Amino acid sequence: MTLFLILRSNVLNIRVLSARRWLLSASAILVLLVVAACGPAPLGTGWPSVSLIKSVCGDTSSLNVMISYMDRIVQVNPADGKSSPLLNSDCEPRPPESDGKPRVWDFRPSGGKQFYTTPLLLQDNTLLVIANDQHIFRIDATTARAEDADGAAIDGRTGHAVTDLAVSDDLIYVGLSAKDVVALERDTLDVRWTFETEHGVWGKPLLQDGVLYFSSLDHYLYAVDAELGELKWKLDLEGAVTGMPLYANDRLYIGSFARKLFEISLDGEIVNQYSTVDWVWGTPTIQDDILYFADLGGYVYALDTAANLSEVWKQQVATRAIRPSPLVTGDTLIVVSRDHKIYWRNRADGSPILDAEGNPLVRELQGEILSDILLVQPEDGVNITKPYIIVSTTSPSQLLAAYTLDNGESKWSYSYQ
Amino acid sequence: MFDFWSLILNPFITVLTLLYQLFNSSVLAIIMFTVLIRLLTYPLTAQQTRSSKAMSEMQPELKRLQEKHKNDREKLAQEQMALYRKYGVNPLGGCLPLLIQFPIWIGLYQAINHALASTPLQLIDLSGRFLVGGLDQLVPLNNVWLGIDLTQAPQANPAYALIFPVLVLITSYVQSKMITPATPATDADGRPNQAAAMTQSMTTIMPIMMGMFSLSFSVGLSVYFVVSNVMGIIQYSRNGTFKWSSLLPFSTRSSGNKPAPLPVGPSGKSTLKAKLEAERAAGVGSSTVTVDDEPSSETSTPEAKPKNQPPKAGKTKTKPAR
Repeated sequence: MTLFLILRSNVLNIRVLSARRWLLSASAILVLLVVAACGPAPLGTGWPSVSLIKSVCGDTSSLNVMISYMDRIVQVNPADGKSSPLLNSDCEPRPPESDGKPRVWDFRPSGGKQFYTTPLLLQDNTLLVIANDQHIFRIDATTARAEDADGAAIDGRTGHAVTDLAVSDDLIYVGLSAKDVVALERDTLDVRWTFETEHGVWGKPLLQDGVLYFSSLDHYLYAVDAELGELKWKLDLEGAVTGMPLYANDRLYIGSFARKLFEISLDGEIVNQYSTVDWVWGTPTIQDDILYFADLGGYVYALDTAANLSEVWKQQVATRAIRPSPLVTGDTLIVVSRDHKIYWRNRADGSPILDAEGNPLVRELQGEILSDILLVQPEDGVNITKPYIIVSTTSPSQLLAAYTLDNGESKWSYSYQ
Repeated sequence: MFDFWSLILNPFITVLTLLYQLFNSSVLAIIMFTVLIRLLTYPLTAQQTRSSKAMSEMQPELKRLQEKHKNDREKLAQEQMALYRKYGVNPLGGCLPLLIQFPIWIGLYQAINHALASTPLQLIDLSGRFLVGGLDQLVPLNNVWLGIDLTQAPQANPAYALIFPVLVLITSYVQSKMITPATPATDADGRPNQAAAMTQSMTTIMPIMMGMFSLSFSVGLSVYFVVSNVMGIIQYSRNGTFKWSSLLPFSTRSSGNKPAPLPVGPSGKSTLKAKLEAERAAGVGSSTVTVDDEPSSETSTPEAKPKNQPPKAGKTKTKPAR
């Protein structure tokens, strides 16, 4: 505002200048505009949530990639990257639209609601998803029809929903940016209990043996009775916590912005901890007692849980943040980064896997990659001959991309139409 | 991540977070940070203000030169340059400081946005930006103040948070009135001055737009706008030439920023008027000059006034060529 006014006053003042002066002034303004245009672009809100959903219609089931991003949720065929057809309740494809376009599975509620969380598939073939404004939708996984077109608001709660839902047999657990976790009756969506923390809850709650574990930006990990919402214990992790804890071998594993990864006993004691280079956001993954995780500085770690979190290897893989968990399968470890790239690494030592030309196997996409990596196997009932990895970017022009797991061969790409 | 903007953003975010650590309040940190940046950029702003003021003072003489040499551009350019030298003004002196300040102000705005980190992507982007150790534990900053979530827009907050868009509107209006140069409502030849009309409408529209934007911006950014505007108001009011009464809607001035009195010659008349009289005596051609601040017993010559023109702001003396 000030800048604009000052600039305008100058322009008005120099209106009597000669043409040469005008040229100089115009050049100065042009430079100003270029500087402004090169300024840091406003950051978006989040990134796509992707998951594999096996929906059932009649006697047949199909595996689809489900993407929640911006104002819509879509389904994509993991074999070819094409939009999944929209079926009617008799499991037959709906007739094409008047302009001849095929009808596809695409859920877009009114009011411009934004989606950044993964839909949950319930046993009755219903998808449960929460919008950023904390309205909950129940959507038929086959017909894309919502029970309530506007969704159901959570009574008396404020803040945004930025994390995935967790469910038990009778409750739905919602973490909100306005400090609390809410337990809703699964059938009626009535609030059974709420539990307030000191800051937003951005990590998906973990339900394990009747205990709900969740992290908060207030630096604590909480353990709460899942039925009653009563606190069992809370533990200071010295920095903000955004991930969901990993449960393995009667231990919890979670990282924090204190640049540490913690091993925690189920009664809330820190058993071991390991210092990282940068903040840890995502949930670790474990294979054969080796814990794999990454930090926002682009480092990937392998720690031995059987040896007090001793370091197996540590590598700086990417130049920018790595948010999601690494994908570990066989001898391969795959990580994705904000630097738009997918990296293939040897699981044993973190060294690069080489392509046919002897170069590190890396693929670059159009947008930042912050979403989880999906793995699709031929045995999942998908018409593919080799395992695929599917990654998602923040760029609508390349929302999804599929590569073969073994050699990074590009298979397909999907964009928002 | 390392790029040009990180050079500005990272120190800003670090200082903002250090201020938060010092005051234990996001609002106080934003206020102090904005004040600090405005003070640091004061020499640049002051230079721009001086330049702008001098340009305003030169306007009558510039107009006279334009009229005098309207058919000789080369001569006009020479005379203008002589006038600039006389006043010690660099015609671009007002723009260049702006170019330097612009990235700083963008950085300030972005630093507040980043540090409050209201969305997951903003929080991720905050990592690695601290230049001083030990600030990780402060993340995310406590963004609730008097029940208002500073990361959210006023509508998502209690009703009293709507005071911030109102404050943005008011302070933007006052500042825009102060900063806008004095421009007569009519041109020298009596036609409506389009630049003045545009200035007048922008002075009204821009603050309203800012107020509207503030309805959708986070409250934390509104705090920044208000403090920044107040600092600007203080700075411009120190010139001592601003008439506060011009803020009133029924003020007849085309803008609130009154030019400084013209230089006074030895006879006690303004140098401009003295020059005009000297020219008249010497038989120099037609001169049409708008003098804004000088009382005069002379009135406009009715014959020379174009028909169907609105009354001129300021007193216009028209001297036909002899």
